Amino acid sequence: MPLFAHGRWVEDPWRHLADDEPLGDVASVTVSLNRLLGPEGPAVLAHPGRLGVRLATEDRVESLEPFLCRLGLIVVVFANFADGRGFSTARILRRRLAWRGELRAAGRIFVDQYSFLRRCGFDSFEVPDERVASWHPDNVAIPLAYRTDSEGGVASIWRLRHNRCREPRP
Amino acid sequence: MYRYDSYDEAFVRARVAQFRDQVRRRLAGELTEEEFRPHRLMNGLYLQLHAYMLRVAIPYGTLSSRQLRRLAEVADRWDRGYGHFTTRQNIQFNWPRLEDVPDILEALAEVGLHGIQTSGNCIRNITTDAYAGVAADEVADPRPFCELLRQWSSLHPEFSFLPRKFKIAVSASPHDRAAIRAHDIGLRLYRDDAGELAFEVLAGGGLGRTPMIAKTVREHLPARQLLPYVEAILRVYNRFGRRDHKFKSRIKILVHEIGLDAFRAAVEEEYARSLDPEDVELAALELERIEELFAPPPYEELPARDPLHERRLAEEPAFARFARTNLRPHRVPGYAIVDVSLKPVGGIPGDVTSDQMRRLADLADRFSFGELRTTHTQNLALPHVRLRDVHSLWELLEEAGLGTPNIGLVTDIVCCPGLDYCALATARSIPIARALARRFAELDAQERIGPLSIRMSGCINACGQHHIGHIGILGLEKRGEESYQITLGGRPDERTAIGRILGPGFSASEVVDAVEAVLRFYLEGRNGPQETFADFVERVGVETFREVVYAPVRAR
Repeated sequence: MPLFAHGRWVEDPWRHLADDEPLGDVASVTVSLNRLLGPEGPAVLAHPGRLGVRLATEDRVESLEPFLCRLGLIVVVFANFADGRGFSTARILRRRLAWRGELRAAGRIFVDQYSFLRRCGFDSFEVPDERVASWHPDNVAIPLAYRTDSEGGVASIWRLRHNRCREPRP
Repeated sequence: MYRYDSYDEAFVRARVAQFRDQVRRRLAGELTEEEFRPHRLMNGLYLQLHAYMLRVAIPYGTLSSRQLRRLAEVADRWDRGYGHFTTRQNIQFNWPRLEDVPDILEALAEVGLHGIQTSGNCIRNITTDAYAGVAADEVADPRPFCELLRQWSSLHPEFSFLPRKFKIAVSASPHDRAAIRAHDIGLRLYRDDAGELAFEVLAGGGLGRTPMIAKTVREHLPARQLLPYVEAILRVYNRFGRRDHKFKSRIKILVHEIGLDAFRAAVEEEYARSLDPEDVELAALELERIEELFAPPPYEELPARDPLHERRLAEEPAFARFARTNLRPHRVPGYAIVDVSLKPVGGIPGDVTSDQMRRLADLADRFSFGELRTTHTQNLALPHVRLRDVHSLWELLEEAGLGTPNIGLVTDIVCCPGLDYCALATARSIPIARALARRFAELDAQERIGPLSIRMSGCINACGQHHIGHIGILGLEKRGEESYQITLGGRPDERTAIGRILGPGFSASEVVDAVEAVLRFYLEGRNGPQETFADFVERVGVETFREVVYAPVRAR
């Protein structure tokens, strides 16, 4: 799947394992939440490489809390473009759980959601093949937002108005 | 009233530019209608029966004369010379062309108006008491909170793809004129025992096919904690609201299915865990800034009573009637709120021509510090009129066909566009509203009947809010015929109640007779004129109406 991160197309260094695929000795792997929470969990956590998790749309992000310090990547899969649960997942990870690793959006995302995704804290995007040609986030981005979620290069009007403008988080 | 600063302007213009690009991509075939749909909806653009419809937000129903003039220009230049005010204090244009919409939005942006989130599964326009800031009985002006909510919810990154639409209403008076209990979130502003502003937070109200009254989630929320608490409610809803079925996706279903206690526990936990003091502090600073912009206009110091006004009331019965029905008490002595009825006999409820808009803008400049209000009953109001000016204003309103003295009476009918415009409608509603208005046109009879809200919807989605009308009328389709179901016992006020179905539906030709029979029974049976229709129905029960309505109507 083509991967877009920090304004450009990049190679995906992660290998995304299906539930029946062995862990092997790959350096960077992601597993499903079920696999992490299941009987194989301890083995997954003890895997020598970098570890990431793929969350399905309905997965509860809170169940990741005990493992957050072990995770380098969390992929949030959007079941369809109208299903906005993944935005809340991201917000909880970034704000409430203060997780700072790579947060990736995948599934049925479209370019016009880019600002929303970035503002919720996503920093990389698995873009569906058929949407790669039209993936020009700069054309659809709105550079301002009222709220204080100064993530994603979007300036907060409230911060600007009240002299609380900090450098937006990368 | 609120004025855009350069940031508000830049924000709205960026949104217009974004939508212009989306329309271009749609017209060039780069976006399918399915892909384009969420974009156009979130900019207020619907596809109706005959054409696109553009819904423009009028935040919390406050409108300047300048904005109203611009709406008139839009009606003339890009539509058919009129607009339609809705039950959520917005205005709709029924005939724009898709390729013109970006230009329309740009013209609106110049005067601080937009169509952002007037449709789609997101947080919709925030509504409030049409008399906010001037009502004699309110504890504080709720509009600064509404504006804070408007900014907070505009292009909200987390809540733009909710399970369903989400409506918030705010009231700051003991008498609820915003129907907050019929909203996804209802907020009641009050002063607590310590004299501080606080909110009662209600959730889970809504009409549609499963009408429900909102329940109290939090009795006492310090006003400055408003945003984090509302955010917690939205987050719980966004995560756990049903998405499997369109008709079960509103927050009312979630509250109903998991129960109020479980819902409250989830919200309180979310609120406690996500509270960020910096967010609260920044919102408080922003609220202060907004409050300054809502400073009252430069009122004159006047005596509470005006002798000239009172002499005219005594001498001119037609003026006295207008004053009885269309004037509301103002919190400032010597001033009144003047309601402008958009329900003339024979008209379409809520419709205004561009000429009337311009006249109203002029009248607002001359008599009301350039300010107007839209009401959730599809009327307008001039909020700051000196008592001594009411007579001149009344004469000019009469001249413009806007002086109908029927506010809160039987012909002040709330009505959705119905099958004449709407793709969802199952029956016409406008012709029924007109027929009702003609039947009860006689002004003395209207006053004799007293306070009465008839509300009509042309389909189960209930845009006409028929459930909370004292008399509700729901237009359905039965075997290829329009059928009108009557409900009684609904209330739109602080004692919000859902009406109960009287019985089998009536045909289009019967329904006006049926309403007349209902009202005749009330007039004959009431304990004097002080017993309103709503109180009468509560006392005698809906069942007692059945016999008196069906036998004579069906016998004809």
